[in-house]
Amino acid sequence: MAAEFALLAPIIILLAAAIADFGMLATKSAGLAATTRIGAEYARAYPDDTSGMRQAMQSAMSFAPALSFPASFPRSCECNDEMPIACNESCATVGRPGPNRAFIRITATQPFTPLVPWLGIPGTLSATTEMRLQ
Amino acid sequence: MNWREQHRRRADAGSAAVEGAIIMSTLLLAVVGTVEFARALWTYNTMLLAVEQAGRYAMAYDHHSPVICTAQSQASNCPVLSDTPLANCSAWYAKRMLSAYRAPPVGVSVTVDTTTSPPTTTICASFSFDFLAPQLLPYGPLDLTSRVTVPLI
Repeated sequence: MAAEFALLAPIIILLAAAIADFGMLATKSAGLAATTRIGAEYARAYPDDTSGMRQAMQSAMSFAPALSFPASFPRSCECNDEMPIACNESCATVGRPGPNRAFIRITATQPFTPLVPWLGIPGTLSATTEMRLQ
Repeated sequence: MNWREQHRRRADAGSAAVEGAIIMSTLLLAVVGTVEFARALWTYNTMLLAVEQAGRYAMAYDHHSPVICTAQSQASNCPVLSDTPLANCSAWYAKRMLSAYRAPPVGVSVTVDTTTSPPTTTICASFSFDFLAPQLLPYGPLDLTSRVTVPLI
């Protein structure tokens, strides 16, 4: 009986660790995705205030460990035909269907340390929200 | 077959039944525990979504014509609520979101902090999560709280 239990115990412990790890992964990913949507909401009001977006995301919830962000949140633009155009160009002037559409990509990353280093669980979680600005 | 042999076989059968009972109860506990914690996680995620969406609602609130909402009530484990139109409407929005997802009766209260620059709003949801089979698990009700703080811009 004791030998059987010794055989089974590591499996049960590993199972419990897996449940805890995947639960934490799900919860942290959801929180990270939520905060990028809040950052995107800030970007809609102040599209040029990058530090304000970072501040809004970092302080939205109590994140431990702290979030990190890319150096800038990239913009992309397209015309009304859904083909890309440089953001400093106007669709109307180059003879393409306007008006310009402008998008911003808000990304946040957070380190994630599982109890057991499972194959396939990332060491860094990342979430991105793309928001249309105009 | 002599009586000694017969006795041994009956004893073996008994010990197998005992082992089966132990393993079955452990397995049942694992399955019930998984179901309960999945429900708790689902509830927590729904609360997180509701407070986040209400936070975005609060951020956009000033850009639209204000509407009047009924006064909110204080949720436990949450900061003291603010009785302003924005706070009341954000709480209403979070509650509407929760009921759209058929979440259990989660308490929501919204606080506005005007001492910071820019002012911030904290949307807080809390719920005392009861297990379906509370006698089976050695935990009391789980206190689920989720909150989000957004700048008012």
